Amino acid sequence: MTSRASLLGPLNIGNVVTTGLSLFKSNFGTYLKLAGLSYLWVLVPVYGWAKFCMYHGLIGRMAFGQLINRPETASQARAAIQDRLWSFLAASILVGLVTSSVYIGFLIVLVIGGVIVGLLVASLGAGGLGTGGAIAAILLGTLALIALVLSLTWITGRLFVTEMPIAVESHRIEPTVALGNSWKLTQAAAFRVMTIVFIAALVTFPLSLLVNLGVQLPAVIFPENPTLANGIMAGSYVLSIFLGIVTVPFWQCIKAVTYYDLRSRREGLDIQLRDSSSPG
Amino acid sequence: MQFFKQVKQQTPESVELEFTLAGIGSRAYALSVDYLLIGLAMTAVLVASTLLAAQLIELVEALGGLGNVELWLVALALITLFVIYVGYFALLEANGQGQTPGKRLAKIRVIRDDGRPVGIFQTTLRSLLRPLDEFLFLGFLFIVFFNAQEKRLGDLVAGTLVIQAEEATAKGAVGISDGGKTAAKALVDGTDLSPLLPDDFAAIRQYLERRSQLLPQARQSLALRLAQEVQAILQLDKLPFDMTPDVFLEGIYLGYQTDPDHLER
Repeated sequence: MTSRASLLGPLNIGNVVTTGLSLFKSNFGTYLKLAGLSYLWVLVPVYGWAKFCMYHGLIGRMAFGQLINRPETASQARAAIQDRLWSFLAASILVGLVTSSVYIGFLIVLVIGGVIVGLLVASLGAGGLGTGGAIAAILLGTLALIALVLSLTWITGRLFVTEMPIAVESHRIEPTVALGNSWKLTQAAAFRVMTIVFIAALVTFPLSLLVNLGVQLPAVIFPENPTLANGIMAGSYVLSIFLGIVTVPFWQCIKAVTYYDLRSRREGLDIQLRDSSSPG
Repeated sequence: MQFFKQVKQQTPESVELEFTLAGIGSRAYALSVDYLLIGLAMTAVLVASTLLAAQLIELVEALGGLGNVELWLVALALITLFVIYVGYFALLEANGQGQTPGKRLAKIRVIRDDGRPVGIFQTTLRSLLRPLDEFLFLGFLFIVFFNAQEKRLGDLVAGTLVIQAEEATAKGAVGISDGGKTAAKALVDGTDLSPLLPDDFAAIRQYLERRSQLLPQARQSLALRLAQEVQAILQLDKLPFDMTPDVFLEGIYLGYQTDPDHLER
């Protein structure tokens, strides 16, 4: 079989999600085990957190391997990326820092803007603004909120695939370079990426709803029962970890397909002659 | 690995057709777009009817009152909303070749089991069963887990399938430069292009069609790699004249189409 015959190439939004779910379903057991391990490691500070991130990258790598027709077993994949442990942690910290600085920057702009508007209003005198002013304030506030949501959505989209190159490249990639990669690949595609995320979230919605119901229902039925309350606390903790273990592989599959799609679009990853050396 | 499910169908004329099923992602995408549009339509209707109702109630009261006119108006509004919800899907699918605006965006369509286009009967059945499929997530479960043909309840009852809509339009233009044309002439004259397989040709065409979308650095290295590989396949040690990888690939693309050698095979 030639290697390019069955490469998918660029996908539309819906097909990214379908492909991700299909990968998730057909590797359910394997990925679930890896996600389970990641949640055990999270109990160990720092080193365990790096492991947590690495296991997620590992699932992404395995899913990506299937997309480029170079499937690996879990142990092969782990051997390939074991020495990149700290890169995964550093990359996720980096993404967190960039995202939160956008958030903080936005708040600073908002405060400065608020102060300026406030001073302007004060200079108008004691008469106040009346109803028109109140409506304008509400409108401004709503606009600011929408702008905040949009900019956080945008930055999340731009950085969505940051860990993927660390996981899949044949050589070691610095976290900052990986971040730059994601930035380049998602140029003018941030909202497309976030539409994928939205549709994927919609697909997981029935499951998270069920789990949430499982957690909330006993508390609703027996509102005042102290022993039960403790049990419910423990139960809900277990259930939310369970939800994480099940959904992490799904999200890593979505991430892998998104990365594959972006690289097909922007780098022609899927364009190869027969049996040519594989991309990586 | 097969990511998308295929179905083979016999048409009444015994023609066998193969379809790729839409998949949960595209269906969820289409549904969210359609729900957004329905939501907008419903909001517009509610706002308009509220304004209208206020005036109507005043009028009725001025005329002496008529008991529970408010209740009647609420009932009327609910019926209107239901008609919008059902009618949106039923009418648009029936009149839009199996596509609502959401389905058009997600590039999927509804067809009958035997491949024929859907009519108002099928689309109404699908639409009436939507609340069960969508608010109880039965549709999700059927599409993802229970039904091999990705049929939700509405599809099972109406005898319909949701498939990927074929891309009718050509992708990007290949865009051959003058240099490419010159290269094609030179290459066809001096080289046997028959070692290239149709698959290779398809890859070259993919590159030429999509190159303008690629990141500059990636484009450069991909073009170089493809050109070197083609050169190796054709055992072309020396090029007719100095050319960039892009021009070379354009030349091969044009030449392959006109070269009689491989067309005879």
